[in-house]
Amino acid sequence: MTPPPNEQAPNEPARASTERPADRLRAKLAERGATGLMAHLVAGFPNRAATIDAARAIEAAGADVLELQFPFSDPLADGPVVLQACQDALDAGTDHAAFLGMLEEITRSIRIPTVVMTYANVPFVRGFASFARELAAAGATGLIVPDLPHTEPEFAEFRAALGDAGLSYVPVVAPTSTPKTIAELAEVADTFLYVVVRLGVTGRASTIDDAVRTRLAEISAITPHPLAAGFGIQSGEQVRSLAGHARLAVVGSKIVTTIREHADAPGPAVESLVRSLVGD
Amino acid sequence: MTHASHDTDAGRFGSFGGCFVPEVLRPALEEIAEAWERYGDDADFREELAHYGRTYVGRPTPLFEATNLTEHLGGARIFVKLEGLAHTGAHKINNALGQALLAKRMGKTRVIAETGAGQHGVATATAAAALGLECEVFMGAVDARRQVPNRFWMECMGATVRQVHEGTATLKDAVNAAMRHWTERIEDTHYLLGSALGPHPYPTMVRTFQAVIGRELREQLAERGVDRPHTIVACVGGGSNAIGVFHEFVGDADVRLVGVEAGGRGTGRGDNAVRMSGDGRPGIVQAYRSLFLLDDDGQVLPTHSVSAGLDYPGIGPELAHLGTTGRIDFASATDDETLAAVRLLAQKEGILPALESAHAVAHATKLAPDLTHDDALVVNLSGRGDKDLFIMAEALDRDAWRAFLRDELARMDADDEANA
Ligand SMILES: Cc1ncc(COP(=O)(O)O)c(C=O)c1O
Repeated sequence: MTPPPNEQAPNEPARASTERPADRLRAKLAERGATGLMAHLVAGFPNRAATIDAARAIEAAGADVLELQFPFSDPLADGPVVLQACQDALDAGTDHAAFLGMLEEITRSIRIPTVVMTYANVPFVRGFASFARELAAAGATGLIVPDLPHTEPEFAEFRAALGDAGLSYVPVVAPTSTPKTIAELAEVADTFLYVVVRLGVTGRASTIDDAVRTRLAEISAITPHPLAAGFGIQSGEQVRSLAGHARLAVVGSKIVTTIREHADAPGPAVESLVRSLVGD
Repeated sequence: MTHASHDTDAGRFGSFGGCFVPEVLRPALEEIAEAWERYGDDADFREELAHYGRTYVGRPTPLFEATNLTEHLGGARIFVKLEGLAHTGAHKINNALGQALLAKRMGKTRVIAETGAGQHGVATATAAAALGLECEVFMGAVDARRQVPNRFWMECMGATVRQVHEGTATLKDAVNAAMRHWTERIEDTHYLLGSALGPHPYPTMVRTFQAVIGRELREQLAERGVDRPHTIVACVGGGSNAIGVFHEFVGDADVRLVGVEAGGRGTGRGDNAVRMSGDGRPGIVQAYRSLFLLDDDGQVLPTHSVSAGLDYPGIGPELAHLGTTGRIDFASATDDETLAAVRLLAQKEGILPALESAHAVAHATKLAPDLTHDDALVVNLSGRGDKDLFIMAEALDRDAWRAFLRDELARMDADDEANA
């Protein structure tokens, strides 16, 4: 579990030599505050400039974490809005190199941590270790892969690769996850858990009611890691109703829709949306 | 080295297989795996399935010796296993009924399915109607357009057909859409997957339901005094008819097993669906690990075939494994070779094969002349061609077909005017 060699250079300041990407994410989550925002973007949708513009707007508006999706052709857990954005991003030429380029430019220009989300085939085809090293080198702090269950033999290699690259692994907890599974997921997590608050795929609105808050409390009783709650969160009111139950609210489809409506220069619209979501 | 296919407890065939579903679906797959474990070998369940097989599906399906074709090609004795004579016109019903019966035992009231050619959709709608289950079928918009008759029949049997416009709007996108829908309705809904692929336990379960084809074949050959076939040929989309006819013979090392993939328009990217004998690469897509048509970044490539049922970028994990170990050979047949094979079998034997199945016929015509009359060459005719009327008529008799369609439209317009 050694950091990549370039981070071990003897003359680097102490902080740079010991800090791993995941630590930045952990530190961010440890900051006190109300429920913050993890804002989701599909890289390359509708193009590189718009993605970078939106990422800057997301930070300016006060989000805590950026979730950047590496588009995949067959995204099983995504609803129509994100699915179409992924397809458009791929059609616009978002390949591996283009994604890494965007990630690098974004992480250089914003200070909040960036977590990458993609589907298993993308890191699998690249090779787990290379993929993790490339993400870390481009400034990512963690990775979410919804279709690589911790119960499959491939997971061990994948998890080790993230660890070696200093990246956090963010597991997804579903409404169908049993306490036993949640405990297993908490075991392989190292920063936070992504909790899906309702059945189905991304996109459709959810109600944050007592059942959701009870569910989050149950999960918090099993794991000390902070929680991000997502799927169907679209308003600041929903975000605020998670106070005390989730460290982060994840907003995806709503942002993607806003970008589609302001494709030429999404910055201002995304910034005002995210402000309304964060607004306290 | 043994070539028998061993599924490990995790549903692996070598490194292929597995269960790569989002966490929300994991319990649903576990539930099916448990039900499958409980009922797969259960005498009552098997008898109920066999009963439907005999009295509803029309099993055993005939094994016909194609003497005219044999004579025409010179060489092997050619036999065709007529799965197209099964109720609904293809092997798909074997699996649809099996899973629908299982779904009932699991207490599910709805089934959903993906369909490409529409054959699996029709089979599912049929099984659902017969067993009193609600049914919803996801179909790529491109396929729905080229398979209008099947779409019509599904709706006729009470199923809802949902057209899928995302992605390439073909079979793989229908699978994605069905899985997505399933994540919202796990409680009352069984996903009745149509081929020997997808997450564990589907590859094993679907193969087991289709293995009846190979079991019957062995008996029927024995009745004709054929101890062992020399070669068995089957078309391969996801691979269910192929593994269904091959499974019984995988342990007979001297029986050559050949899977035939869609050669489409040619070898260019996106022009075919050739995975095993072409550019398939290891991947994890649609919840299983296998060989897929992928670009360098792992994105799934578009495919093409004249037959909607073979137009799919992945292949079932057991076939991928047995292909990789060399137990099963793979070949391909182009669209043109396939259309020629339809005509040949129709004219020589009075049998109209489905376009999918005609791929196997096309390849068999290449193999037969190199064998002798002591060699039995079996072609699994997975389906009959009725459903392909619109495609075949356009391809084989374009002008007359166009005139017919034009006249029909004119007649309907005139009727409407007269009644207005
Ligand atoms: C007649 C027929 N044969 C073959 C196939 C391909 O499926 P599989 O490879 O699972 O047998 C289909 C699929 O729709 C079909 O309708």
